[in-house]
Amino acid sequence: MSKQKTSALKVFTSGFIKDNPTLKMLLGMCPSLAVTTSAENGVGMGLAATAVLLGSNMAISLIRKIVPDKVRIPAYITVIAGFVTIVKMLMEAYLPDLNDKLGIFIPLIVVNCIILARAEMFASKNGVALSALDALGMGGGFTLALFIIGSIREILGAGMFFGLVLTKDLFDPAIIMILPPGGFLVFGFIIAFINKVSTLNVQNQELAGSCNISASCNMNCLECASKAKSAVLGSDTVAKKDTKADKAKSSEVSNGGES
Amino acid sequence: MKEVLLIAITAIFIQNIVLAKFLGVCPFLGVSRKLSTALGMGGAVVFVTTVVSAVTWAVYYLLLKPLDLIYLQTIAFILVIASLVQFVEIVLKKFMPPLYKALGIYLPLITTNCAVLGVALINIEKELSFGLAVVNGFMTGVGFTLVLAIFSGIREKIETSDVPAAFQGISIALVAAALISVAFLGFTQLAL
Amino acid sequence: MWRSIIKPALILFLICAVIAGALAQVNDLTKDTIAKRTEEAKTKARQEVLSIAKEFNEIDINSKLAGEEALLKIVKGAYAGQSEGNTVGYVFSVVKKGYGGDINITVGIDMEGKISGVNIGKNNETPGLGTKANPEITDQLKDLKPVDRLKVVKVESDKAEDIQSISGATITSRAVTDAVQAAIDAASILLKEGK
Repeated sequence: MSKQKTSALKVFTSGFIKDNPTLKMLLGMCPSLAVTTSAENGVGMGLAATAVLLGSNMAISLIRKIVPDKVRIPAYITVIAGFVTIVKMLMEAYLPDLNDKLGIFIPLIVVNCIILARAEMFASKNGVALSALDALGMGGGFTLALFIIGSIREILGAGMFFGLVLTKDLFDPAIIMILPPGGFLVFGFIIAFINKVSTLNVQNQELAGSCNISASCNMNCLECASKAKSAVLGSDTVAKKDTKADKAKSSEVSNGGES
Repeated sequence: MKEVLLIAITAIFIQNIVLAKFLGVCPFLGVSRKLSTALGMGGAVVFVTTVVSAVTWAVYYLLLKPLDLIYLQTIAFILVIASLVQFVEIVLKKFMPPLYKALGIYLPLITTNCAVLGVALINIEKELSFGLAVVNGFMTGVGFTLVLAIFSGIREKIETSDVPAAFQGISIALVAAALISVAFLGFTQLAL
Repeated sequence: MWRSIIKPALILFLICAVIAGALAQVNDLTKDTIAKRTEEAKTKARQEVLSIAKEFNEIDINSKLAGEEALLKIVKGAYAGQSEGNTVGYVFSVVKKGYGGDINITVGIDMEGKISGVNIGKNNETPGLGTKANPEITDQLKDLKPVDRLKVVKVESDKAEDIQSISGATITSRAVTDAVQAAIDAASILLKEGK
């Protein structure tokens, strides 16, 4: 019993830090960059995606035994698109301001890798309760990541936090941070920071760590894409090749650096 | 004609799908290691965004709107894209083997490329006519390819440079993307 | 046959049907609220930019502004603001392309040709930059009775028609100012006709 409890807790918490979908697994990059011009938008987007994820994870977990393997992916996409539309309609009706701000990125939750990846990797293999926990954990992690990126960009770029003016006389906000380049820049530095922190102790794992991150993005994106369409052989080979090449190259670089 | 040119410049430079709209960032980072793969992916995207623009336009204005089913837009579009990509793949394989050989492996990756669904949604949001929607789809794909090609060139250089350990991999790629994005920011001053 | 083709197809169809049904339900539930909210927001914007009017009646711009192709391209709607049976001003809803796509702008103009208010509605401008147009640009325009054409300038100027642009958001500033200028042009046509 107690063992079950810990595993349930683990399912919930792993999404926040250890397996953070955005910062660690690099899924759902598009919204992470596009809507994080302010902390509020980031959190709004995160919560909308969490709502979709909760719905789709539970529904997919419920139907996992009756859906034939062959039509699994189209079925999942349909379920996800359904929940996205429901969330969109509810937001239009009850949160019109936020809906206007996030605009096209609400319907685009459909193609957010996180949702399909969790459906495929977790909900299709676990019960409803665990799937719901997983959705909350992963959604929470996504929201947290968007909140961090959004806060940094809003503070540096607009001198504001949740719309409150912070730095009236301290410094002139660097406008570029809320323009598109700022999104790439902040995200890049956050990932570098995570790489640094997570590899402080074990020197040897340093490279493995950074490699994993870049590889995992490819793998996952390629993975959910190739799964999205009854995997064509070629794409798997590409994924494998890419990873291998990446590993080889980064080890080359490291050797060069150390010598 | 002026409108076509306007849409072309906007889609490729001013509102570039990757650098300004942040759509299709995943393939942008994932398949930009080598120029050849970047061009292959770009070609496949141009092809699909053009066809998808035409088909989703027809689905929206000839089916969903008259039947008052606009709320099914998202679901209809994603299903159209998924089945269209599969269809294109089968047709190419059967009738144009050389082209299939060049683009084939990239096609399945496109279903979850948010640039494709994004273009379809933008076409509807901007209330473009059929012809302009197709032009917009094509030009958006061209913009995607252009940025992917530029970026792959930069990444080929990065691979051989001495990057601090923490920045290796995606991190430095994102920083490089930020710099290209700054360059593209200059185009916004083109007052159209 | 049953296992490999019909059963999967049937289940997929069933899932689609269930989801379409659910969406129809939610759509029915939210449809009225959404319509009401949109209408409310529009009425509120109209009221805000022309506060002396009690009610607003839509004007057929296609006939009133016939021949003004350039104006009709961005002026999407016009309303006569009325109070106790008299027309006290006009409200225009103008859509102009900004930095992040279309900006919906509502402009109120009274019978004297004075800008009674400017409301910036749905837009995708950069937060903290373009979004500063409200109030930075709208305040400059409010209560202005332009004799000359409005112009966006980068340095401060004494001329009332010179609108100082927001630093870093010239495109938004220009879009809003152009939209208001279009409303003024449309109003002058309507006002001439009234006389």
